[in-house]
Amino acid sequence: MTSEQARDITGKALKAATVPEVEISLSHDRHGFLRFARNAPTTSGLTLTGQANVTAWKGKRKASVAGAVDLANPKSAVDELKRLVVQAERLAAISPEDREYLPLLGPQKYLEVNAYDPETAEMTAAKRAQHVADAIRVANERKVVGAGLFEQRGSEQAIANSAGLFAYHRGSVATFSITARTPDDRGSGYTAVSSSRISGLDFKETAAMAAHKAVESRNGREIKPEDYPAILEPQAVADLIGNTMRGIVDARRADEGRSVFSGPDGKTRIGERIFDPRVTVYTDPANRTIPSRPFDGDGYPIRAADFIREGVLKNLTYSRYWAGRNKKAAGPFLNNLIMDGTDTPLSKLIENTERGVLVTRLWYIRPVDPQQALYTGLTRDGLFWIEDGKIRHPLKNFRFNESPYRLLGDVAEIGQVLPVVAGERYGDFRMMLPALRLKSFRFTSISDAV
Amino acid sequence: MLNRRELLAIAATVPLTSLNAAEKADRDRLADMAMELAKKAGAEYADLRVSRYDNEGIFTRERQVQNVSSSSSYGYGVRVLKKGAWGFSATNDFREEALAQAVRNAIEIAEANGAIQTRPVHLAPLKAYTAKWKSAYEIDPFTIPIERKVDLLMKVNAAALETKGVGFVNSYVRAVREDRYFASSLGSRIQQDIVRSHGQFMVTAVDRSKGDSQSRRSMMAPIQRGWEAIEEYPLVQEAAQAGEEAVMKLKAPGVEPGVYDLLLHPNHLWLTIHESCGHPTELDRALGYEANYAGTSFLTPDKLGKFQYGSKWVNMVADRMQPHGLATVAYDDDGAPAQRWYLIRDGVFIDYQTTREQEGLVPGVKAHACTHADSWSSVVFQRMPNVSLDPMDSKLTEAELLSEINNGILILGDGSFSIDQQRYNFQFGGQVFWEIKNGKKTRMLRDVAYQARTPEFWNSCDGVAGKAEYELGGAFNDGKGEPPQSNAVSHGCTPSRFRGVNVINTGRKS
Repeated sequence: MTSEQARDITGKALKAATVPEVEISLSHDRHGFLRFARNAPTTSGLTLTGQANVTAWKGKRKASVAGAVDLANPKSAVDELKRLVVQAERLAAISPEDREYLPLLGPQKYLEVNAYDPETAEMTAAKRAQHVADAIRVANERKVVGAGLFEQRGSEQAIANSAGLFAYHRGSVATFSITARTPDDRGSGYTAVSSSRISGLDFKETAAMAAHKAVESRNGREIKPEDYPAILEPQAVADLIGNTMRGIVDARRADEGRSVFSGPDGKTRIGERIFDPRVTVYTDPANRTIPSRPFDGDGYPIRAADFIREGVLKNLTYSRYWAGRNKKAAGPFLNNLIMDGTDTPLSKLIENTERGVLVTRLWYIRPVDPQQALYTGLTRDGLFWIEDGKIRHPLKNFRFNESPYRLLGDVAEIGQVLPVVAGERYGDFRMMLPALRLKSFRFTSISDAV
Repeated sequence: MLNRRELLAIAATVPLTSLNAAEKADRDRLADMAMELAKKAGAEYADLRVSRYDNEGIFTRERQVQNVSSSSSYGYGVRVLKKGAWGFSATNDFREEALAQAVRNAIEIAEANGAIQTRPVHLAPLKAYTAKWKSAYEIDPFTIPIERKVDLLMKVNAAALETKGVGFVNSYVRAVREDRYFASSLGSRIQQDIVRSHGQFMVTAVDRSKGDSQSRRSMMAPIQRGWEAIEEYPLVQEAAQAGEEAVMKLKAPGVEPGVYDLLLHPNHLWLTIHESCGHPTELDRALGYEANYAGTSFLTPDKLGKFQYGSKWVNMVADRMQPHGLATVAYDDDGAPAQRWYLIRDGVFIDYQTTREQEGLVPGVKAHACTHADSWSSVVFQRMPNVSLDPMDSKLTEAELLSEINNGILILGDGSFSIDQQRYNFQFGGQVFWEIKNGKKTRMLRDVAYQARTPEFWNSCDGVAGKAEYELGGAFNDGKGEPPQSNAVSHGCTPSRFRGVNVINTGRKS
């Protein structure tokens, strides 16, 4: 779906509307994937999907409908979109008034983001199999059992509304992850890589890293669960901070007193130095390594913006409604997340650790207390004991109960940044995050899982 | 009526744009074409799923409606097995050339994978079925006017907000309808229609002077029923109670960390069953197929038939035929008839959840019809049936179980949950916690979570109440697989007692 096609399809459907305000969003997706386990392919597929969401307002009455739309066939797509518009209008007519009604956004200007690579978006099944075969070969050579996923995607998204807004974005992404386990099930290692360009992935190297972690993590020793100094590799930082950050930067929750960023007397903590002065976290859709869609679900522009700058909470995300009510600017919204790093390699962070735990991956992270941003979860796929600047031996896994926001105030050292994908994936939210050496991390019980 | 050969001859020229859910006869025609094309391309086996998924949700907060949403997704997926390797392709383009392309894509994938396949897929014998099945419901929730749904939610919100100290309430009602057609090269042609419903709210009380907030969610479980399930459940009364309990939680003392006996209500225990029994008894996990994402399982094949998973009170039954269970079907997505079988019997681990292609992977383990995909565009794999703690012939009651606890906690509702990738170490919270002292429920507690190791936890079970107190819990959205898929599944049980479980305080002063 080109920009012109999207504009044409949505334009025709909007013309058919009988209410003054309609918003249409389209997404077209070509998604190929190959999964493997026990060093052999398992499930795989190619899906071609078109999806439309239509929201109509009749006065302040609002309703949304969504449906699969055959975007490969423009005439059929226009007919189906018109049907959805009619359905949304009917539903809006019988819906209650939206007390948070806002007029539609007019035309906007967007950042130019180059996120599309045809070679990545339109790969053949044979090519996918070849890449996975490369990784499986490494697993066999290293005598580990590999399981993982390779997927590549080309997608186009467009938003158009009756106030003249039109936004279009085209992107591609290839992601490869592998868990290597030793045949005796006593060691496990994980590595994941992601890039807008297939040429940015090294399947053999990724498999070799997972295999190395698996072998090195065999027969983890049990130590007492308690607070330890810890190094979180970028993957573990992504699992913990990356995934929790997006949910907690909501300004409305903070204003309502329901967030870790709620201040006293109904205020938020914006402007306070809450974190270590070396911590800077921001979004930038035009970042060359992890480009992302430069607009949110309503077509509101996304630009580079700080959330934390040198330890100070700079921004929380205001929805358009909440911004209007509080006389603030809407946003900043985010489709990617970046944390500044340093030139310090992971090996140096380890050297600088007198005693502590090296965490390579975290898992099953769930909120326990939103008010203090307390989360529980587990270490997984490689946990190691460091003493006198060297990795001494693997450890049995731990459960933790920690607040990532406490941790960002307790940083000992920041390492190099890597592009990372969270292990428990939430859409295609991509991040560039550093390894962190932390003064303490609260481990609360032992897990026997390998 | 054209025969298959004639249909195939015109396949490249005639658009099927009129095909929709109402024209079910066209599905047979589409299936015939797909099977013929797959066979011609050398497939040993093929199936086609043509499905429509409708979802409706009304979402509110306090005294306003946030959104009325309706979605519908209609398309098909073709799966082929060629030279022992799978291929799959899906699209919502119903033109015949698109179907032909989808079959070619699936074949191309199977051939590419076949080149690196080490063990050819073997399918257990299966008969062909022609059947129609509809899940049990009285009132189609999609026929209920939106005004009526909004009215109910506004009453729920108003009831919650009546309590002083309650600041916020969110609520919704959701309806799901699945129209699923399955055809296979064995000759099966199966139509299944499923309806599910759910109502939910969350009440939050805030104490800004202390910078504290506490929430209490509804304990209504999603269910494979119609609107009648929402009308029968006392959502408004529960909202009033929830408002009071959220405020009580603000003032309640935090639990003293330590070892307690636990009395777990079905509206809480269902989630513990799901995580600590449902997932570890999946054969794909036990064999390493899910190692990269959901994880593996501590219930490895060497433990089958001999591992003491729980006490004699622990009988876990898998059941894809359970009335109103969210995972209930007549046939799975291989076209195999639904089954009921025990996973844990008298505390011993005796069987797995399996699919047609998994039969024989572990000696003696049969296929149990657990193949499922969450959409026409998703590839099928092994998903969880309803897994429940069977009270068997217990005559105990919740009151009796409670009366024999000297120092314990009654937990209601599901809360925070987390479990490791082999399903050993878990931590569960809840919605409402009552201290039990000397056989009596005394005062409300807060910040309670229990941590345990799965086998120790289930072996500490020393009583489950009888069938009269049986309830189904469940979720619409159990995640598994890569790319991730969502599965609706129920878990039934009765109030059950566990001795000497480690309880932690999750509060900020812990």
